Amino acid sequence: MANAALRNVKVLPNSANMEEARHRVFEFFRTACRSLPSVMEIYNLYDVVSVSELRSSVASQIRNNIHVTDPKVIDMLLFKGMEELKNVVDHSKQRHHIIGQYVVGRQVQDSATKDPDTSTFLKNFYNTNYF
Amino acid sequence: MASVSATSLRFQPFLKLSTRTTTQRNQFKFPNINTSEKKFRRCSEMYHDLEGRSNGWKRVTKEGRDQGCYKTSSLGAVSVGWNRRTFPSLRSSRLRICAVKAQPETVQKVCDIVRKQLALPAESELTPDTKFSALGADSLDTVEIVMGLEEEFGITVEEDGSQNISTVQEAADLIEKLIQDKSGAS
Repeated sequence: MANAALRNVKVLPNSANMEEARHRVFEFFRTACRSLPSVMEIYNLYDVVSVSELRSSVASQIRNNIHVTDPKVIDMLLFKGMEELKNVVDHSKQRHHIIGQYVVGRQVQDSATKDPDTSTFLKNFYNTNYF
Repeated sequence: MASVSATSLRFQPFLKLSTRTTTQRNQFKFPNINTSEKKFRRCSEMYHDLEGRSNGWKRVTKEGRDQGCYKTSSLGAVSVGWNRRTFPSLRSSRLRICAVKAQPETVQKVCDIVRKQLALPAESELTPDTKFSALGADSLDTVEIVMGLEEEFGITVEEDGSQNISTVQEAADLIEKLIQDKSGAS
């Protein structure tokens, strides 16, 4: 079902204003949440994470870009997000990729950024490793 | 049921006899000159043996005819069974509708999901008139709550419905409406 739904997704024209971009963000979030049961089935994540936790992870990643106000930037981010979702649903990633990015990735990033004594090199290293 | 089983038990020997007769007829379709005398002798012997059992043979045929009548009755019984199977599903659907109408249970479930999604303490008050924005939820949190409700109740909230939700009571009413539509369709 998720594959069929995402197969028909096309690149939309740029948003005319901020309201339309905001609406599209919610649509993308809704599509992603409806795909989560399929993702749990494909990668067999039942013993690692639950659907609600994955949903919170997706929401937190969207909330990381809450400061963006340019509709063009939002469209670009939505395009990248849809591409990522399509890769996940089509099984173009492996199980450890999903776990590293959406299950434990947030904790590592939070711990890395909170430590003030960490050098810039290590901060960039951590970011690139999980981005 | 007893009569049907009895008739089925009686029907078996008739089947066996009929199969034997058919096999014999098949054999006679291609007789050989050398073996024809032997087969004729065997048939005459069988005829002599059956002289005392002619009444039994007739009885078997009569029973076969009666079994035909029983066949039709058994088929009717099968159709009656099919008819009976439809009624329980209707009853179960009615029971579901009665269960869905329980307002307080749905509202309580919605409150639990909202409290979990927004990480609220247990002692915080959640009344049906509480707004999500009053609890510190932004628009993305509201969408997340709606998705959580979808997962919990096994329903799909359309875009129009999700945009109109801003309080606990509105969410509960929409969920009950969708559940009733779903049960009505099924």
